[in-house]
Amino acid sequence: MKIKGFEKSGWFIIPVLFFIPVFIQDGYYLGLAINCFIYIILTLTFMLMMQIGLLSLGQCAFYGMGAYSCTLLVIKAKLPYWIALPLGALITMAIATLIFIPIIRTKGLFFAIMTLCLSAIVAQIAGTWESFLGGHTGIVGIPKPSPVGPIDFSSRVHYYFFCLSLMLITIIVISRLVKSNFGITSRLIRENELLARHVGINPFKYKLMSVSIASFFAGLTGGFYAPYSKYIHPEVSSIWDSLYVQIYGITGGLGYPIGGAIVGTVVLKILPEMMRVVQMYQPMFFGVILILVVLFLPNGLMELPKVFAQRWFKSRIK
Amino acid sequence: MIGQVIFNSLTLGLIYALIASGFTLVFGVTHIINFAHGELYMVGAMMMYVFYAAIGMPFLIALVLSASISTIIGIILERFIIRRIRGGEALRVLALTIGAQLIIMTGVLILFGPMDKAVPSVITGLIRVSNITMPVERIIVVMASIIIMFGLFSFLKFTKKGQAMRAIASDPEASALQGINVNSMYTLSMGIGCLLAGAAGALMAPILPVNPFVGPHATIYAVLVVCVAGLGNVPGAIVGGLMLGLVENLSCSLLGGGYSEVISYGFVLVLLIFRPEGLFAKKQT
Repeated sequence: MKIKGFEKSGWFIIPVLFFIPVFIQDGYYLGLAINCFIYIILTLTFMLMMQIGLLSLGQCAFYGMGAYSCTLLVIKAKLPYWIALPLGALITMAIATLIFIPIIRTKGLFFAIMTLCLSAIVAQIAGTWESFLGGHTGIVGIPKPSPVGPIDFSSRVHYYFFCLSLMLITIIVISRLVKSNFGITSRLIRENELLARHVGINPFKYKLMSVSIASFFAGLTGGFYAPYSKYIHPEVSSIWDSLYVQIYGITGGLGYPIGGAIVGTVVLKILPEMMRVVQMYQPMFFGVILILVVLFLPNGLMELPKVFAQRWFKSRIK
Repeated sequence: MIGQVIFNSLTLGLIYALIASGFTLVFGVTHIINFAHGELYMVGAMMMYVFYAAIGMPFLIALVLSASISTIIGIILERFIIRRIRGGEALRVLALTIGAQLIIMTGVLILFGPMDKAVPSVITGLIRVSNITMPVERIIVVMASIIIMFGLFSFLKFTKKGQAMRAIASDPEASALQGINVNSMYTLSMGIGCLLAGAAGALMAPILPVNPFVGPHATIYAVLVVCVAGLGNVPGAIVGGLMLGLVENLSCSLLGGGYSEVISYGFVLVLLIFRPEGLFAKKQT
């Protein structure tokens, strides 16, 4: 039972987001918002893969690959940023698709841990290959993107709008995908792969497509991050961030690919800020939240209104 | 040269085998992929630091205590958290174990701080046979691992409880009908699995780094071994662990340390192309 209009109401927030920098110029809060946007995109790609039943704990591997590809194209191949960005994402997509060909065949949850390994491997390669990828110290001095109209990326506000646009594009594309035939087929494959095969669907092909699309967008975001933070390093592809993506997704609610990604990420990014959780304790905070959500609110925060409504109705019937 | 590589692989491989057999045992009986398994390895190592390095107890007692603490944590984990979702979707249980992993890791971090802990060697000294250098310490690790493995094997094969666990791994319902107390067997298998991980951690404490962050590393290796060997298969896990240890050591000697994980991973990937279920996977009945 979907509460009518609940999801549609989300779209009203978009104009608000465009106006925020008018009121808030503080670099810290803008940075927080940008960080939110980045992780919303990553969580959206996670949700996309979940639609077909692929639990991916390695989104940051794509993120890192995208960041490094884009950076290397700009710095070594001297390409303009606006060509390097999509090209970097395409490279990420190509590598990811190739690597996942054998991985997709692994059974259920081992897939998940293999994706986590991928994050670790990307980080290790980036950390060890000094000559090409900069090793442990990473790559510094990443130049700004070339100007687009009035936006010359001289201040964080410009990056804010850039990221916001990326996020909106990703939301639109992924929500279209989820509602399309591709989404329906994905969900069928997730629920009953045998049946899908009998109907003539090739699950492997769809799973690979899912991976490609997810890795493209995650790589694109990595390409955004590179000039934004002016410095990339192996920890961009960290296993912890990858794990957190999954926590944001589960907390938001796996049944709601778009809304869940947004709600989960925003709540879990803002909450520690509001509660001023000390950096060191944060993993425990997330662990506790994850356990609480899985035990008591298994369908995520998006179902909170429904849960309350049901409880309220039940109490009235008595 | 070859002999040296074989000896080094033996140490590493046996440790992988220990961790992986615990992991696969838990899975075989409870069907839970315990993401926090590596944390129990880490706890074993940390406790070894506490008992052996900080307090100064004799090695063997410290070893037993460390492994016991890992076991206790594992049992608490199973009884109070995992049991509530047993039988639920695999994803939910995995998420639960991830949450547990984060909590255990942060707990240790808060208690002991992020820096590496130094655990002194039990015995120093080398033995040279032909041109193979064998630190006595590693020989002890090898021997201890073999003893533990032997114990595990005998337990599973010869004792009633071990056979009960294997029965549950094959068919939980039939086992319950036969009068096996599935609940307590679940807890027992989790306990043994965590004991193995903790013992591995304690044994390797003087050799490998000891800090709160080594958990996922161990878990990843357990998973890699099980991918090679097949789920739920304890002897397979032992062989798989040795294989992986060999591959990693070979690549380390030939290519240098930085790429060792990448090579291991690549090796598993290639293996998966040809045998997605693992080399020694149980036949599906």
